[in-house]
Amino acid sequence: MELVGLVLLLLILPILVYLTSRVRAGKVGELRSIPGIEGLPELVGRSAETGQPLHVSVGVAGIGGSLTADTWAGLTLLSQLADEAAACNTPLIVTVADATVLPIAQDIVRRAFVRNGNPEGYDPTRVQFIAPNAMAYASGVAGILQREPLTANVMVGQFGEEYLLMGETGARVGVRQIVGTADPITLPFVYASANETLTGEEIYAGGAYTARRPVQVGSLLAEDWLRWLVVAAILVVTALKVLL
Amino acid sequence: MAALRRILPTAVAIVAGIFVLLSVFTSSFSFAAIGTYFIDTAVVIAAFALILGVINVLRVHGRRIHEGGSGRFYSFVLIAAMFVVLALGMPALPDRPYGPSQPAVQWIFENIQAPIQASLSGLLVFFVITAAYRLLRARNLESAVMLIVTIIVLLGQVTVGLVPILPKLKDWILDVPAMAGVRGILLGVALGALLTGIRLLVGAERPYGD
Repeated sequence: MELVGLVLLLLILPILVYLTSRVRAGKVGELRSIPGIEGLPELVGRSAETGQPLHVSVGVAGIGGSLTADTWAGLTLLSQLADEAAACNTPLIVTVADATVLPIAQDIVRRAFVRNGNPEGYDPTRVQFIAPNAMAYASGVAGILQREPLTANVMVGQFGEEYLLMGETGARVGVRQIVGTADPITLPFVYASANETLTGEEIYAGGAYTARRPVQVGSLLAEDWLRWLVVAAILVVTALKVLL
Repeated sequence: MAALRRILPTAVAIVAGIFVLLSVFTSSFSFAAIGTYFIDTAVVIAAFALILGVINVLRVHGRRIHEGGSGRFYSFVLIAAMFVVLALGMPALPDRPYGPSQPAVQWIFENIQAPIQASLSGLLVFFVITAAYRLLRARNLESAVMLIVTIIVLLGQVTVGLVPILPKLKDWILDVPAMAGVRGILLGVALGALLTGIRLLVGAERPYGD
């Protein structure tokens, strides 16, 4: 099994390098539209107009476990939102459920304000560690959604059943919600309560759509190539099994 | 100096990542030992991060109490509860249990925290119902399909031989289209997570610097 993983890794690296070079050369067309991600800059603009903060959650998982990629997907979008918020001097409330994410989220927001020439605008208490327990975190976030007059609620990362506490509270108070998770069991609840849903792998595409760095767009294309490879492999194995 | 500050964390992260990866792919003892060392170090650093979390809670809620407003009473209760549990868990006497196994701390967990969490879990039932109601009101094709499928699966679960086709229909829905959808999502998630990991491993994405 380890060998399969190694082969897959060695297969992906050249594909990623090749596609990144194609993106750099401008030989790649437009990415398909994902309204949830494309609508984020508009939310920051609206937040700047109203003066009401945006709430950003990066999920209940931490850094270092098997769900690090999900958390990192949320942090990537946070980075983009923080950059735009710092440029417009828009207030941002960031909540985390895992202590390992706290210093990273604080650093991302702080660097965004420094990059945009507004270091005084950074307030470390705007990045809040709520609770390490998922249900306690959800009730803390539900309190923020109910108490604070927010422009929007952006939640991207790992969420389980506790999502309902937050998502339904947000829907009840009428705040615009953009939610993405990779957990298929949570997705129906997200679909029911959020205005825009990022389904499964779409959460990892945030960087490619917002920052548009060649390596991020290249990795998105590599993902598509690999998907077609997997689909072809499934069809070949199925055909062989039927025929033989 | 600025270049060093940018390059050093990236180099350390790439080297550590490659060693941990090699410890997974090879059976070499030295790679396994180095990989385990890095993972153990990460666990220790994560434990220190919890201290940062506690300081953050104190700052956020201390500020809320200082500024006043409607939520300050809850912030006060939170900080007071944190200090009470912390004080009770301290090793007051030698050879006596302390930390989470201290009887008073255990009592608090069993009689306050556990019932509150159970109540919150119980509330989820009502949130599921309101979510379903919202879907009912959405009135678009996707919502209609979702609602019809939900009703068929629910009826298939509860009918005891009254409509024999429903349990079979429910099983087919769960085993074929639902399972296919879930596998499709999981496949995409696995590829997305893999490529995110590679981007982090080769330093193309750096959460630790500009």
